Amino acid sequence: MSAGDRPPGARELLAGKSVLVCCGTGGVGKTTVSAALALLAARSGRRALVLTVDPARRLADSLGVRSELHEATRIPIPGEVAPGGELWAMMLDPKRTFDGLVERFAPSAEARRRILANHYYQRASESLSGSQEYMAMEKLLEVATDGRFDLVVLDTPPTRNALDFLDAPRRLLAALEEGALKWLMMPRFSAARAGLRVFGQGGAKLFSFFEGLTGSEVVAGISEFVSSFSTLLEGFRGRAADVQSLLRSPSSAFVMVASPTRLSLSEAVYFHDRLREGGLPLGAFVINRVRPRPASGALPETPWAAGLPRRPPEGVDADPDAWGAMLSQTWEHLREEIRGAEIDRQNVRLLRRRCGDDVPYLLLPELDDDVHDVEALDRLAPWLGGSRIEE
Amino acid sequence: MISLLSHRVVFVGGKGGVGRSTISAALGLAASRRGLRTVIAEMNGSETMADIFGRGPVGYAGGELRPGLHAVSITPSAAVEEYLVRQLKFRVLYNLVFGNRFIEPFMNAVLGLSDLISVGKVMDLEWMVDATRPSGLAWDLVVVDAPATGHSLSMLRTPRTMMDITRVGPLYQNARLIRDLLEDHRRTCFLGVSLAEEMPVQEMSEMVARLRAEVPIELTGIVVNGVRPRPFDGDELAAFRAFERWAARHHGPAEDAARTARRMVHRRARHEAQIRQLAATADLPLVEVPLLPHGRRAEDLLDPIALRLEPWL
Ligand SMILES: Nc1ncnc2c1ncn2[C@@H]1O[C@H](COP(=O)(O)OP(=O)(O)OP(=O)(O)O)[C@@H](O)[C@H]1O
Ligand SMILES: Nc1ncnc2c1ncn2[C@@H]1O[C@H](COP(=O)(O)OP(=O)(O)OP(=O)(O)O)[C@@H](O)[C@H]1O
Ligand SMILES: [Mg+2]
Ligand SMILES: [Mg+2]
Repeated sequence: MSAGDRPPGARELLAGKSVLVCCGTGGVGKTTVSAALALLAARSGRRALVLTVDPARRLADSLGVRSELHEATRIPIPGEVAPGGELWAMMLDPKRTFDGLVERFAPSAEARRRILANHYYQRASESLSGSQEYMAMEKLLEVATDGRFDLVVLDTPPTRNALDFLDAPRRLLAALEEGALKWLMMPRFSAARAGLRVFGQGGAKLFSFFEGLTGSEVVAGISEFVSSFSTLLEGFRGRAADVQSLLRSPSSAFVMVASPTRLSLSEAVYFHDRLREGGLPLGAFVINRVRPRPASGALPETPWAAGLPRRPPEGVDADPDAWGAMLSQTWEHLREEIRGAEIDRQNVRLLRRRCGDDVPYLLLPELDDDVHDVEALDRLAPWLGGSRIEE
Repeated sequence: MISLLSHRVVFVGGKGGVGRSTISAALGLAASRRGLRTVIAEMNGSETMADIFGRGPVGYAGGELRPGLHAVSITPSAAVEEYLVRQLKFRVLYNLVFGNRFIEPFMNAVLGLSDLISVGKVMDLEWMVDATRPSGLAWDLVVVDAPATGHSLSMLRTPRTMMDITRVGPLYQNARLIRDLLEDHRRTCFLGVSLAEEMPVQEMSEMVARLRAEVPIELTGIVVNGVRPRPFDGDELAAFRAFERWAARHHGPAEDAARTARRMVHRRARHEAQIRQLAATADLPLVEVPLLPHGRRAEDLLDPIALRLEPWL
């Protein structure tokens, strides 16, 4: 380690990396941390892109990213930037990305047109579980390999479980292959042609049953979507394999963002273990919104015992009762904050003991205000750099 | 005037994690205490009610939480199975095809099938008869702990979508019945839940606008959950200002206390700004529910919350 006993921080995390994927459950700060990491990289002289999903409106506004753009936007950064450093941001549009894939892999202009115009394709591309995540990875592959950026930081969509994100492509492909093809292709195409008698009877019955349930137009429409879509699956599978190898390469790393609550950290442990099992690289834990510890440490039970005046001191004009009540209430709150800060640190210690010290743990403080501009992101930078929130 | 309990079905919706389940539980408990036989329907197979009330999973069949208060956990695949087996009459046929676990999500994605059938299951509860009760109905109130915003929206839209897609057949007929109940203001209403924070407020405003445009369900009001009370008023606020000035010349505990007091005041101001924003953009009545102290059992949150909801019952 270079700078004395400074703990490893984002510098170590970023060194030699060209792809970072920020995972975590809903609302923990994935979007904020992704932007802060990209900003830090830009300041140190790299061309960094943050690929973001659903940023809070004020953050999007102040960064100037809009989903209608579908393009990387250069974000001006005031203050010191090492030569060559640039910050770019781009907002994901899963539907557009899906359409882009269809355009790329459709065997003919006619097939492409048929798929894109199909009503069921339009629904599926928006609501098929896993499609948002799959498309995030697809976009990542695109921007990570086109040479325009030194670093791409991928923010991920809110999921209940951080692993949902990793499982998404498999889920999507399975849904398309198993769910759609095996079934809908069966009665009309395969069963009749290949004489799959096992399904044949049941499939045909079910097919007509569904026609009875929804009308034959619907079944025909879905069948059409599925059969034309099947020509794309080879291409999709290929891309999914490329994403997998990109994520496994030594220049990629996952960043697990969590809050310092027990629940969130046990998610983090689970994620860590699963990445290990899967041979995927964990770059860092980022524990966001750690409650700051007041400067004076442990405090007595009452403000008076700590030497604060029970009544307004000489020259201070305030109602004595109100002064006392205000200070008592504040004191209670301060002690609550100290307890909270201790609980957070205790939880992080448990995580550390469980997952070992070969991964950096970056602890970001809870700021007094939301993080919605470059200036606020900069305020998180020193902690990302590896300075300690005392433990 | 909001009167949630004069409806038969209340959908409780909002962004993930804002407290939809807690508000649903408090509402259900309050209703059952007023003698309404109440069932809380959880979507997506979650078992939050069982957790809150400290019992084992209630499952798709449902179970009792407290006297007069029940919960059911609606799993999409179980609802689809129940519906299709009833329609198909042949379980073998069902198993043959839906035995593949990817088909149900696929059919939901292209057709909204499980969403429709899950909402249909909620409506089944409303329709359920019980000849032994004076009303002849099994439930006086159905509280729906709806999924997070995006999924709730597509769920509430699904009857209309299904009608557009199918135009004939039993699914069309079912969708129409469900739509009629969903959009009947005397029987069904929607209660929003948000936090006084930027993202949930933004999401709730958008949700309300989209419901207004796409689903004519009755919008009652929004519960603003987890709000911090105003720390100081009047003389106390003046005392805080005086203390802040005095503390600027001191170190140690005085400095910490001043910083904490400032944080309390700022946080409240930020919450108030978000509440004003929500009131303006959603244009609905709001009720505040305070952030209750950490470390309480989930069940202990319910009484103080129910008290806040009182004027809307
Ligand atoms: N360290 C921090 N201090 C104070 N506020 C923070 C901090 N980190 C994030 N926030 C705020 O918390 C909110 C949620 O953060 P963010 O949008 O980054 O979370 P997310 O994990 O991307 O959420 P989602 O899962 O909904 O996409 C934002 O309003 C953000 O400004
Ligand atoms: N007013 C409150 N004061 C303190 N804690 C609260 C309050 N409301 C909810 N909580 C707590 O916040 C957490 C989230 O609440 P809840 O599970 O009801 O949210 P939800 O919207 O149903 O979440 P999900 O999207 O996961 O279903 C729970 O631990 C709950 O006990
Ligand atoms: Mg986000
Ligand atoms: Mg819930």
